[in-house]
Amino acid sequence: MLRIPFISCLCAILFVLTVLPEQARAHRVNIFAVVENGMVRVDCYYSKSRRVKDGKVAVLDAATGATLLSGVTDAEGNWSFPVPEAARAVGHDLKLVLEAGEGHRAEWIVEAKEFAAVSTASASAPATVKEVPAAPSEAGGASPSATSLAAVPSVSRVELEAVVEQAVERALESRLAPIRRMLTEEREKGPGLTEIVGGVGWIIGLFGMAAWARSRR
Amino acid sequence: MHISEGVLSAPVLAGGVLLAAAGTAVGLRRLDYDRLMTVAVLAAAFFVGSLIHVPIGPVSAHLVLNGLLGAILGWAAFPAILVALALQAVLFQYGGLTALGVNTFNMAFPAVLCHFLFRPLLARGGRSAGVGGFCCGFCGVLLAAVLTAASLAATDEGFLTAAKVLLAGHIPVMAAEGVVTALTVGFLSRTRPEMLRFGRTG
Repeated sequence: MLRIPFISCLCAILFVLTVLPEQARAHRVNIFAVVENGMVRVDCYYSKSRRVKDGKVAVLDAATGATLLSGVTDAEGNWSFPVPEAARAVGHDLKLVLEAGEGHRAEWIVEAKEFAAVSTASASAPATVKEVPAAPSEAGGASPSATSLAAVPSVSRVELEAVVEQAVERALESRLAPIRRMLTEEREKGPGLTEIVGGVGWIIGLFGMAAWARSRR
Repeated sequence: MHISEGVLSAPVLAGGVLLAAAGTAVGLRRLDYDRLMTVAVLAAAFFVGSLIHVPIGPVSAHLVLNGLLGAILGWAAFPAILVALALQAVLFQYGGLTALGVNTFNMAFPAVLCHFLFRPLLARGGRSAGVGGFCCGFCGVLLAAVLTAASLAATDEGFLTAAKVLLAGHIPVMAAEGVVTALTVGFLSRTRPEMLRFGRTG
């Protein structure tokens, strides 16, 4: 049978193709969103190097399905919007739907607890303020900057809280940035060798089963 | 080319399922079981082909290879493409599972059409086979783009916008597919002409 060379030739091509995809890019669209300071930052991409330009993003109330907001991504595939008060008030999740055209569509859920934390922090601010200044004044004895704080009693609790909040935010952001980048990279990875080889295996297996079933007739 | 979950309306999805089922049934009935391995290998090639991107200018689109499957398999392209697309949907999340019928028909029907359109050229062998192969590869993608745009006609994107974007984006792919298919078919017609089996209905 001369079919063997043909099949082995195709198999060789397949092998080369499976080695290549390391730099190949996925052709599905992705959407990813994080809540930062009451803003939802949306990131839309096909792959690491291909962003979704002018993609339509609709913000829906995940519980009722009502459209709250909609927007268009910029050249970098980004768009951001303030957390809609309607969703925050009732504590519903937000569903982001990206329509990138050509039948490409993706969804992302922003859970209510992601933005609820921000709102409760500001809502309960007056209550927590009483305790917040206690820590700086205790630590204040040791650090020289605290003397200036003590010397200037006019720094209000609200201002102080804002400063601390900002500092914590900055510190967290710098600590979390690499982890966030890692997560994003993980999501941006196209199909790996495992999926590709697995899929080819499935195909051979399925057709093998068909051939086997046929041979028993 | 892979239409995602939740884009199309129920009637379009149902129509796609029906057409794909009909095509697959015909494909299976006409399938010569001695050629099962060829179908499997080509299904695998189609499965992997979508990972090969052709970057030309700002656009990059992946190979489709439906023209190649059509040229060699004829009606059997339907089951081959169905299996490959189902696995792409499950493993790569390319295209939605509910849109599987529509996606299968959009890619397999042009394959079958090209098979019958260019069969005379392919059967002649030699340089004509190469030309026929190029036409299969080129028109396979072209028609698939048109069918995909037609599927999107009922969405708010509309047929014309979708067709423009899809066709413009796939011009490099059409050329690449034409060359790949021409080379493969040319090679086959020289070394294994009976692989192309044009005497039968395919």
